[in-house]
Amino acid sequence: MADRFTLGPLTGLPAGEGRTFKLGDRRVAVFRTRDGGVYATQATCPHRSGPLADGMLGGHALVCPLHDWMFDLKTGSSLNGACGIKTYAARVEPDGTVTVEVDDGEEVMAPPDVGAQHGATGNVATGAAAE
Amino acid sequence: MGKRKLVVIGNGMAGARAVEEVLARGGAGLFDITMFGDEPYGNYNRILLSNVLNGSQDPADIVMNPLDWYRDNGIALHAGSPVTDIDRSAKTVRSEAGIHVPYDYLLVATGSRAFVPPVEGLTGPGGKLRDGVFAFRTLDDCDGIVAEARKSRQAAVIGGGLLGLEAARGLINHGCQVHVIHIGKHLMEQQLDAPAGAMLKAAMEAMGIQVHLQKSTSAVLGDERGIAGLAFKDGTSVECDLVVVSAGIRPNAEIGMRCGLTVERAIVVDNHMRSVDDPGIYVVGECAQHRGRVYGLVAPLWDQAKVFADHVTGRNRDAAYHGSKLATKLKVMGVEVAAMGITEPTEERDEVVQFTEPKRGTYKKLIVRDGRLVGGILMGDISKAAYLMQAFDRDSPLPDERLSLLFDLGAPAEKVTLTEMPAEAQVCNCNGVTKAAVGACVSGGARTASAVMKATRAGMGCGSCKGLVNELVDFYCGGEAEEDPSIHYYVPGVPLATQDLIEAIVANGLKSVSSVFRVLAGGKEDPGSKPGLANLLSTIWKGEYEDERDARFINDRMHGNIQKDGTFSVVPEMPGGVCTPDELKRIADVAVKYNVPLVKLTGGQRIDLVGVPRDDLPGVWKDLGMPAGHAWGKSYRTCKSCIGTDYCRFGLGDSMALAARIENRFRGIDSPGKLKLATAGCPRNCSEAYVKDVGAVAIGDGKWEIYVGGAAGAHIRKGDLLCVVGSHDEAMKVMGRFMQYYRETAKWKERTYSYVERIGVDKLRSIVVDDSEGIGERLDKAMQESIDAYRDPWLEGQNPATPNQFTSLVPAEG
Repeated sequence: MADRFTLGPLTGLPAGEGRTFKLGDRRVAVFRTRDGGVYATQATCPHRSGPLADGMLGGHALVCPLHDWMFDLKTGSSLNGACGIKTYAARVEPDGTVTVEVDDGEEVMAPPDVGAQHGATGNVATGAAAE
Repeated sequence: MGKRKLVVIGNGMAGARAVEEVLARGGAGLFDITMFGDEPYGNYNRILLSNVLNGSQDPADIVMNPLDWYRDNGIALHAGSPVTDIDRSAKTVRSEAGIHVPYDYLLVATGSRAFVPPVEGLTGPGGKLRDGVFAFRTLDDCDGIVAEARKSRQAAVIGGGLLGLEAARGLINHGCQVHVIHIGKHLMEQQLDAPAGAMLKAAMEAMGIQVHLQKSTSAVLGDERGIAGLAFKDGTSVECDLVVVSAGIRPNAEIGMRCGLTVERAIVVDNHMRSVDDPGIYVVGECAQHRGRVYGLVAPLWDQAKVFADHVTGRNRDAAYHGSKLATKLKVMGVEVAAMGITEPTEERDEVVQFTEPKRGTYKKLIVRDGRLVGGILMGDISKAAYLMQAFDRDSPLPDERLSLLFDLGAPAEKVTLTEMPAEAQVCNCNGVTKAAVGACVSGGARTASAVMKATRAGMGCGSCKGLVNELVDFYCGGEAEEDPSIHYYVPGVPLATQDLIEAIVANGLKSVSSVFRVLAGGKEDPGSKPGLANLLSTIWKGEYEDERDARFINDRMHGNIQKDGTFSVVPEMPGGVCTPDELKRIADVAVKYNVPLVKLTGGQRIDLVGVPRDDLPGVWKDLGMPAGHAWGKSYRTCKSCIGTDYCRFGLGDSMALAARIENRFRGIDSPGKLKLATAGCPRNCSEAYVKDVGAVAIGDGKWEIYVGGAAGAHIRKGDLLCVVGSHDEAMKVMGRFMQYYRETAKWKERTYSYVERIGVDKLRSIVVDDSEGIGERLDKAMQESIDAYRDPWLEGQNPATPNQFTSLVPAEG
């Protein structure tokens, strides 16, 4: 089963950024790359549930803002870690609106013993402890 | 134009490495490459031969380029086919097997061979080593020694240098008694002084190796049935049935001599590693003599190979080799020795720092000249070796505190050595990376620390383990980890150092991050480099900077610090840690109204409202009615202060007023790393100003000491005294100049504690305080322009920059 959702005009997505959408029962991260492509993935990082829509994009690489896990937006495969992410079919319709097809496939969660175990906190990746 | 012909004589570490460097510079498209090698193998890591001898590594493990590599790269390899002649006028070479090849460029990398001293009975007919006598130079030598050692009772190694000792240690593993015969007064006299040599002797003897010093071998005893022993010039002798010769090397330079090149100790080359006689012939490795020196270690060879490749491919016709500084480690299990540079002071101003503890076999000696390391010997405890070798190699200034050069003060007692560290030991706690994972990554082909960090994420969290990761990578690379050039770049994704990058940005008028990638990085966007470029562009262009929001890290898009659950923390500004009761009430009211889950004081004297969902950010900022405290970015953060003269009975200077001025002036100013400042009203230092990026400490009479490069986070360092000033105005000026110079010259994420060490406080003082380069006014002006362009980012709450900027979950349209 797959449902197609309309997200509104492409201009609602800033170039090079992502936003988290509520599409039916699911949260889906939708990205607009600088070359004009639109991609959709599961909303959270399989590692520690970081908000993927807040990640940095470079070309088609997506970096999770919490601990720098990196994924390929096109395929969902991991670029530096243990597992990839689920992707959804997204496209820009001829009238300029963005649509995403949400299927009911499983989102990816990393096993709990992967990655940070000791001392990792939300902002180690940025070294941005509040002061 | 067709391809040129590059012929390489020698398929050892130098020849193969030089070809790798050529290929890395696109050489496959420029050259048809032909290689000749004496040995019938691909190419192997000769410095690991001692591991093969002691049985800890298989020969297959030390192969660097198997035969497939040559085929895959289109290289014609003639293995087991030594070249006998070079015809320089016809530009051809001819091998023993009759192969005849023309060249446009020739690389001679014939290396060296073992030196066989003139000892009676060492060689047999034809000048070959007699049965039972081996050199220690090639895989075949190694095979022969192992086979012979298994049936030997007693073995003698002639030569007590680095290699001889490694061979002796290896022989022990094969069950024979081992003697080391050394002609000098102490072991390894190239690298060690007499006391260290004596301690090394004791350590070798504790392993069961007998060391004979000041013995000159006169004859090998025995007959055609076998070797019986060695006789010495002093009339004594030892029994043995196996002899390993490790008495030094001789460059294989004959081929150069035969074709008329200038040969002294080896083939003489210029700074491009080119023969001084023939621009078509290059020479690298142990057969090359550069500025009178011949190198027998591997590090110089890497440098030479790079220069050769840069030059021959035309990538950089100015590439020049300037000689190498030699540092080395002894790879003998149970004896830790690291040595660099000279062994004794040679000039009057040389300062010797020394520590000896003979009972434990610990010896440390450093020779310091003009604040730089020119020599060092570490035995027993070599935990500081990595740091010292780097300081030696780069000629970087040493900390004034000499004690810290020898010991980790205040660090955990015994640092586990890398060999002893269990495979499952966690190296990077942030990302859960084990020692074994680093090892697996290196054997998977990563040769630089940064490649390992990228692949495993080790060191990418808080970064405090980066030193250890570097050491481990070096350990797994057998001491030959490669340096990643990107460590010199401002950001890894654009191949330019900070100042070159700034020049290129200005010259090309690049005002946005995407245009920098397009023009300076071949269009390849590196996500990790975007925030650094955004920051630098805002420093360069101030208000004219073209702000692409996707180039900012999420903290800088939300103007708060992202927390582990995706919420943000909100920290209002409190100059000098001071606020009014009314402001305090407002903060409390906001916390109640928005149901803020945690209210916390930060280490920088501010109040942190933690756990605010992004949808509430605009409301929180508006209701607070206070400016942003900038607790999230790579920028000026805060200036901590004590209460100075207002109420303190010891206060010598008004630290609160100075802190408030600093905060109001520098708020939100971008910088390569975060800037934490403090002012202290007296040297009791209640506000910890000695360990801040910039600290001001009142010393009375209106005077303030200005410290820079302090830290008390993952790294701890007391700042260096930059200068003493006589007023708040002067303090503001010198701080601003320092910060601006740091903004213009540091690498992205380089905190002041490493920046100040890298540049050196003397140089900073001359530029920032004495204005030796005459750029003071320009720095002041640039800082002022950044200050003028500042706008409180929290105002964005009422006027979002991008659609849905402060919406955590956007509904679908239909």
